[in-house]
Amino acid sequence: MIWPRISIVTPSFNQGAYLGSCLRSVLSQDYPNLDYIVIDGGSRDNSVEIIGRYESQLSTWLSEPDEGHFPALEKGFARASGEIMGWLNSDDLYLPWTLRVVGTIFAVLPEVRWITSQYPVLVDREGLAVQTRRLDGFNRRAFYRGRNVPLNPFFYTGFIQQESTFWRRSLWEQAGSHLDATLPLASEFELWARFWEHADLYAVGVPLAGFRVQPEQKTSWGQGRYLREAELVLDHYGQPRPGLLETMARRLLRLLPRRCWRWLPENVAYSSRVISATEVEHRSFVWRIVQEKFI
Amino acid sequence: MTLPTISIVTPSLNQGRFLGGCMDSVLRQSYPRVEYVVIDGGSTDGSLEILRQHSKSLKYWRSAPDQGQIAALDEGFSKTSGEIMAWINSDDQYVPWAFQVVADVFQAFPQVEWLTTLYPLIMDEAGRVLSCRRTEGYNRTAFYRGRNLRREGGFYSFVIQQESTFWRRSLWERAGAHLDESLHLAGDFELWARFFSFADLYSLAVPLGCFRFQESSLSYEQGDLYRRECEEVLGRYGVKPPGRTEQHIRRWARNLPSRWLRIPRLAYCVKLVEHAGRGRSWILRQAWIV
Repeated sequence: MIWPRISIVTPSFNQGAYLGSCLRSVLSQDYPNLDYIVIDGGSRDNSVEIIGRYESQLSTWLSEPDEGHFPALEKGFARASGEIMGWLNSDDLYLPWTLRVVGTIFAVLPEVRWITSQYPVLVDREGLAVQTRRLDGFNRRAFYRGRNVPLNPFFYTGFIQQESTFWRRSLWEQAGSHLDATLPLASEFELWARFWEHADLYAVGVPLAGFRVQPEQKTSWGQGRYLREAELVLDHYGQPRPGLLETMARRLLRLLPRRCWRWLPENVAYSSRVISATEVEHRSFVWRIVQEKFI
Repeated sequence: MTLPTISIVTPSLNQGRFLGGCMDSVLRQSYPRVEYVVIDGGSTDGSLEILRQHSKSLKYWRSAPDQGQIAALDEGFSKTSGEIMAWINSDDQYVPWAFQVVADVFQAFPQVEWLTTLYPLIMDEAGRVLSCRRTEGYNRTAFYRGRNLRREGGFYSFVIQQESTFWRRSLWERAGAHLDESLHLAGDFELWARFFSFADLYSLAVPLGCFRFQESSLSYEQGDLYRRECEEVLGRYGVKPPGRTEQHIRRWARNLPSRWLRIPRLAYCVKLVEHAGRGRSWILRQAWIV
């Protein structure tokens, strides 16, 4: 198997306390074909010194004032050369196997254009994993109706965890090779919405990254604003969001035995695609795509 | 509060390919108080080199022909003194946060005497994690009836993943402070059976260890012998597996939503440890399985 080239961008700004463990989590994987780019927004803490320590293992890095998180990311992606792309914020972490699992999946499953993990991990301030859970899979229509953003808390089940999401360059280019600068917080959500126009998201049955829960985080202080931005994005696609009646009906339908779900119509029980390694004759494992349903 | 010492034993025999990865996963934990013992059965494949390189970080190691894995483990544990104990086979690995999280939970809850994960991981020979799954948790009665022993009939759910299981020394001592050396392979299963007679097993909502899947895995090649030994162990406790009618009722009941599962005489209680939301605090929770 030829390892596909993976480009990872880390945008950083005054996160010196966490930046070192972020960089180590990427570089200690020894992924054989890595293109790692760090874009610092002119940090005034020890960030630049930390980046300097790993300089020899980075493809590119720079430190200069920029217009914020998402413009920094765009700057990074413009310098990326890999066939597979993803980004890791300076306070988050990959797990020791992440890049090799991602590289393998994209190498053996050509029809897969973007993936995320079905088991998002939360890490605490010290970088310890404190929580995992298993998500439903993902579905285009369900996404546009608000399944992956907590606008209607009874329909919502879980975010698409950004640090666990990876895509092919062809998809990035088809979707316009950019992040939406008009959304200061929910740009990633808007990117997913554009990706969904072109390709289905596959859920991988392996944890891939840890999101660091910390009080000063942008996404927690801006939760309300994030939701309003996400709502704008969904409005643009114009899929009706489930009302109270539908939400109640769904809760009832979930009481049906799982094996009956496949008899329900597609707009009731959404189908999702999950990538999991299945055992073959107790001898080896093969990555396969299985279809699952959720209500 | 002083941190408890975690004692880890690795029995090793000709797994030089993987031994380095295994030992690194123990020695590179961010947790400061680790006591690591490696008992090698006289490897001839380069394992010795790896052991020598790491010898400064080891509490004890030796390499000589021995009576096999289970005896090696007993010997290893006799060299340890930490309050928290576990073993890891030479081809398996811990995840980087395992010890810190385990020590946290043992410190927070005196009633937790042994602990495993809800999310066992399996990795391949190249160290890629292949599978993660959400298990249901573990219960004493269900265990004795065969819930965690892979066999026909539909009652089995999942094994107790050995590389993700940790216990207090006090439990180890109450259970006799030894493994059953009359068994060849099922030493872990027999130990769980004894532990269950003293304490409930709690499961933690983060992965802790990875089992390495390889075609020549000891317990894989000899899966049949392992299963027969486990059957023999369960036989010692004389608890009957569910009959056919009960199986049907259970299968039907599994369709119910989880909060309705608390059916008297049918449901088993499992104990879970979950993250409390903020900071590094944990909560205990019960759930029901059928």
